[in-house]
Amino acid sequence: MWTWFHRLASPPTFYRWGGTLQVIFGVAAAALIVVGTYGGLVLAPADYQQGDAFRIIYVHVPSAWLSLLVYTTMAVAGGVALIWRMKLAELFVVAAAPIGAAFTALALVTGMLWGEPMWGTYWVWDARLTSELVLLFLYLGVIALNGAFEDPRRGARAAAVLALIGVVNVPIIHYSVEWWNSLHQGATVTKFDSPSISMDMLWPLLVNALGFTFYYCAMQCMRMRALVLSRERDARWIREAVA
Amino acid sequence: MGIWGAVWTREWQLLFRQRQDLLQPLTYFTMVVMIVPLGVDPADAVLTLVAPAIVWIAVVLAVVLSLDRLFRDDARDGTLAVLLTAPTPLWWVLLAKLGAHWLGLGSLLAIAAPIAGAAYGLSLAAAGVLFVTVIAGTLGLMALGLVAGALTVGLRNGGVLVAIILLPLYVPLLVFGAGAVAAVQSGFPGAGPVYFTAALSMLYATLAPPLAAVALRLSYD
Amino acid sequence: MLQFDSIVLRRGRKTLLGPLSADLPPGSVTHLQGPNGVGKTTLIHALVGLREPDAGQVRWNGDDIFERPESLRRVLCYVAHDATGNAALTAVEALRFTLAVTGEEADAATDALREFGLTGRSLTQPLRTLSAGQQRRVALARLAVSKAALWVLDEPLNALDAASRDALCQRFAQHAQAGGTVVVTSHQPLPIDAHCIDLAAA
Repeated sequence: MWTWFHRLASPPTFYRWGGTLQVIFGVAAAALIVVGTYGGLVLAPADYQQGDAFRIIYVHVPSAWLSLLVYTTMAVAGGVALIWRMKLAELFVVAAAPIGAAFTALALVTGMLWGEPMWGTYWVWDARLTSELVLLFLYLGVIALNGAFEDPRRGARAAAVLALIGVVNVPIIHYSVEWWNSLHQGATVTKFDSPSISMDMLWPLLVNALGFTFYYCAMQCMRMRALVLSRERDARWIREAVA
Repeated sequence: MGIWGAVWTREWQLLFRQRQDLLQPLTYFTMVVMIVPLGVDPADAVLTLVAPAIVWIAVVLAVVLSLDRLFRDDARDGTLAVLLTAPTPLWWVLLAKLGAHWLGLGSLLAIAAPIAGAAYGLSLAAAGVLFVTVIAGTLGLMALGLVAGALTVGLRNGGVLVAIILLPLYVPLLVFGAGAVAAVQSGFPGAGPVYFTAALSMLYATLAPPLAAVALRLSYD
Repeated sequence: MLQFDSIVLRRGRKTLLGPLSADLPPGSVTHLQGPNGVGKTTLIHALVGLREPDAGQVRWNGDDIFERPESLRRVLCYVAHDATGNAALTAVEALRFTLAVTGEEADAATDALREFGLTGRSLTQPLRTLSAGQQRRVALARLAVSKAALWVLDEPLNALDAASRDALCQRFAQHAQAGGTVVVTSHQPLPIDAHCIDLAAA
């Protein structure tokens, strides 16, 4: 079992099965996102308060969900990389960080675009937006630290340590920011806490969330394969694979 | 004299002989606190309102600035190479470093912070809470700083990177530390956030030495 | 026994060194030589466990030193080329600390320093006031009390005068005779029997 796992995680083997996986994930993501987005933008009824403006949740909520999911998977991979010193897990950390940062940025931008019609301004110090912004900085820290090392393996492991500290902090940051928000704001309408959402509106959201997740998986495979190629470019199996 | 004694003795010897390593961050703290009123109307009540935040931010900046001394000399003079190849558990040494740094600089900042707060017009109770959150919070700030410093020890320009890595991680301590003071200043009970500050510091101080040991080994060049 | 098993060291994409294989048995002095930039210090870092080789293994008594680092650290005495100790400490304080953390007898520090020719005021002044040669001897004084089986020294002869160099090399020979293993890098030839590995050829 263990040796089997190790063989599966060796860069040449991963390069092969990762290629297959990336296609499967990519196709699933495309199908789900098309269905979910059509459902969200066309089939779902307009909100009786927010009109059509609410439809941005079909991008915003999945992005926000992925910003957290990617960070968590990155930290788990970081733990594996440090404990078992597995090369593939190191690549996972390095590959995940920019994807996660992009989702976080997307969640922020869509949140701001949504905020304009709701609050009349692009930015309010809403608890969730603020912790999303802190999360973006956590991602940028991981990316910067990884890039600062000349030796890519050490950069990846340093990034893994930082991701581990970060993941301990993400819930604490979230909680502290909520507390801070409740301390300083009397009655803000928290637009995200819709008490109930009708099925017509909900299913495209879930489909899109799943689609975004598959899109992340496909991107992750693609970036990891690219990293394998560049890290092992002098190895013989690469020359055979590329030729 | 055991290993623990040797490590602890050395940290204190260095603290007392290289006092500028503590006095410079303290001076920096004072200057940050001094410079903010110059940008606003000093008679304004707004100064008292933002005092907890400003004093805490000044503490954070002073701590970030002070982290350089944790590993700079050790990396340069070969001490780190000895520690990394010695049979002594590395995290012991790091715990002693953290403890000495905290008792040295943390206590200085904790004394300076309420004075600064009083100058901003904080009530006596709020200044007292400021003392408590700073003494408790600096332990957590420095624990996270220990890991960040260890991660960047092999890099030529680690200083800016340390600050970039640390500030987002400092958000909870800053929120609870400054929040407790703000709550007390406006007449609310501040015990909750004070406990949170202390609990977080303990959490970070427990996790930091082993993680920093891992970080040192992978970063050292 | 210390073994290099087809070690390869890279810096970036460039291969610095290797594949290098060698056995360094107990009772031997090994002299790693080669011009600047050939990777002597990098190889030393690999064999004391500070830097993983990019391929191959370093083994101590059969164990990979990165799998089981404790077994190496227990028998290792490593003196880096830039080892001086903190400049604010005195020679005695710096050596006491080094001895304590490496599991040696800290109280032997003063005698060890005397053995390496440091006496009087040079023992109690901050290291920054000592000359380069004296600082070097403070770092090397560990050897006088070291119970470690494996000595690894990076450029130990730098900054030493001729008499100290000879005395130090005699110490290496004695350690080898007593069954220890010594690994030394140096630009200069050693005046004792040593097994030479020319890294430029490896």
